Amino acid sequence: MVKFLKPGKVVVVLQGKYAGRKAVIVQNYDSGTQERPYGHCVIAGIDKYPRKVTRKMSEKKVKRRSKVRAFLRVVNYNHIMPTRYTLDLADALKKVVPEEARTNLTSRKKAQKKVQQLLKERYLTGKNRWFFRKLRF
Amino acid sequence: MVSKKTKKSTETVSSRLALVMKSGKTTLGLKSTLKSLRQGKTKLVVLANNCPPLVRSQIEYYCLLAKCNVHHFQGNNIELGTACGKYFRCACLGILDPGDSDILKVVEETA
Repeated sequence: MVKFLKPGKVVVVLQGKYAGRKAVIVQNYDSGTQERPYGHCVIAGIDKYPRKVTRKMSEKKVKRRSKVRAFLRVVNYNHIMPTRYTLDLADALKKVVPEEARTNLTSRKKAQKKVQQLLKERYLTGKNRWFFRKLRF
Repeated sequence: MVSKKTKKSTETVSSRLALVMKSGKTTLGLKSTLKSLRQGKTKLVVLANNCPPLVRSQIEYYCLLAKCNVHHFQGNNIELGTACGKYFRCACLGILDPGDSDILKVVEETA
């Protein structure tokens, strides 16, 4: 009875190249659009998870292992699994990802770089640990 | 091993389903139920007892997120289809609008 697919919801991608990856909903279109007559959303997710870091490692090593690679994708609701988690980066992400990113590939690539930066900053603060951990399956 | 009380409540759910079918709005089948859950339209989901465990967990989780009730029907998908008055099997049913029926209240009481 409650709509739960909202910007900020953490979601697991079920199909495609990014299957098994965690992502956040940036913008959702419940009723679809002309080009996509189905419920879909723009998703910012983690392509390459940051690797595990221990205290023994040198700073240079830690820096290399804390790299986060992000992806930006438009995805059908059927191909994602919502979770009970949220990532409150939605506002920041919305500002960074423009409307054209949905259709225009070059603007999406540009936005992806900024998204990557945002996600990496969030990872380094140590919050939302679950999001930055690889889903084991 | 089914106690008298649960049997009674199952019968009431089955009988109310018929009324819901006539007067209310439902979606039959997993795909459409998930769709309506995402839109926040379902009030109650009814699952057959031989629903595959993965599907059952998936629906229960979606209902948890959507704050929607799940009723585990005491019968398999053939019986649930019959209870809906259909000639096909149905393992998963979503009630969008109960119409004249008070099926929602009945499920709330037993839950």
